[in-house]
Amino acid sequence: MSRTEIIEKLREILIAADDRSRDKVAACTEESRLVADLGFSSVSMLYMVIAIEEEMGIRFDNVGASDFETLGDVVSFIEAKLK
Amino acid sequence: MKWRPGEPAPGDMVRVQIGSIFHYGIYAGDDRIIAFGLPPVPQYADAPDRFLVVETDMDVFCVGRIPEIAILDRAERKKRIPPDKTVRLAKERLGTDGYHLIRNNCEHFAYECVFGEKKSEQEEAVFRMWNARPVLNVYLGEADRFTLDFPVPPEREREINACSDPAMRQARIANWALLRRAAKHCFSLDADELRFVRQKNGGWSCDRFPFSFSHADGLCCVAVSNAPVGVDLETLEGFSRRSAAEKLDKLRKRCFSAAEQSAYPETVEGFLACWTRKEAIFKASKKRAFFPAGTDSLTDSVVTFQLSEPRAPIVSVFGPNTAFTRFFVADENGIRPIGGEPMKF
Repeated sequence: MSRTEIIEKLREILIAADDRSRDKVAACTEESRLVADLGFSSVSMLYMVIAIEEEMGIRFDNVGASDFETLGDVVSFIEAKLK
Repeated sequence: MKWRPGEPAPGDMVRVQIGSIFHYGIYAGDDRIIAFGLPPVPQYADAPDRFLVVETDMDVFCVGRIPEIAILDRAERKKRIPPDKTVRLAKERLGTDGYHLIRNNCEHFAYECVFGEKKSEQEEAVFRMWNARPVLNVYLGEADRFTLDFPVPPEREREINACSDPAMRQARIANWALLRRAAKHCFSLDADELRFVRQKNGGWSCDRFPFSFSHADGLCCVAVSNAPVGVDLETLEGFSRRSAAEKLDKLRKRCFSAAEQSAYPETVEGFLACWTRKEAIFKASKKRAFFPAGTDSLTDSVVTFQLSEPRAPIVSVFGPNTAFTRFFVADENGIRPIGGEPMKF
């Protein structure tokens, strides 16, 4: 799965979590900051984690929320796990 | 449980807010605190004990934030482990690992030391949200690849067994077999967790999620969602075999409104798109009889796809969650996602 495909999948996941964020999420890039730009709360952060685990079959062991400042950080984590 | 800023006593559950999340620990006395992992801040990003149960002083735990103490209500005070034992349990866990952001985090650890069982309000909130997410999955399969491996309601099993047309019988068997796979794949539900009730229109409903069946020319599909759903599929080759062009034209004039006749192309694909959309709307409505002429297919709540496989069927899906429609093929090797081109009108 390429980084572009991962971002696309993340967009689907985030819109499913909160349809009100559709415009913001549709416009997001790898540089978008999860909290500062996308307005993530702790619950939306964890929702993204569980959604990625369920949809992509990977686990977030031994990582913390602070490891993911931008969407690009999440993409890199997924990319490394899928290798 | 309420949270208030204050001076902790040994055995208290303590938390600090860091950005959008909370970091939890157990106060051990003498300005020391035991927590699962170091606070999630950049200065500890490379610390080797970042995801171990660690004992630190309060300054390390608080990273400049104001700590809050858990104030237990009467029932919680009754239930809690005595504070000295809480501290002992926390110390016994020092150096252990197994951290997971959702399933085994600092909140689980603190709760377990105080109440003897793992719990996380953040985990519960996120799972509530996950289970409520909009879902609309459509599973397709070749009917002859399935056997009746599902505890179908006895009334339905009798009807299936009494079906004299072998193709129809096999299609019905395959639909229920697909439903079992869909329940497991989409909602992690096993067959024995599902209850079915016969509807007034003769169809069936499930107590755990709405679903809809369709089949044509040996191809079956089931749509599952967490909102009302209807699905219909047709295959081009099967429909072309059954229906000559003049019959299509007659059906178009009789069953489609003037707006529909001008909106859909005068091709078999155009006909099937409109027809399957009408059927999908009807199936979700749970009405007894299908009046195609009275069903408006030109609504945004129905989507139509020509799928890449199997046998490139045209599938329409109706319901509030159609924006989240995903397609899968099920066979003896399991379930895999498939792509499709949305048909626009």
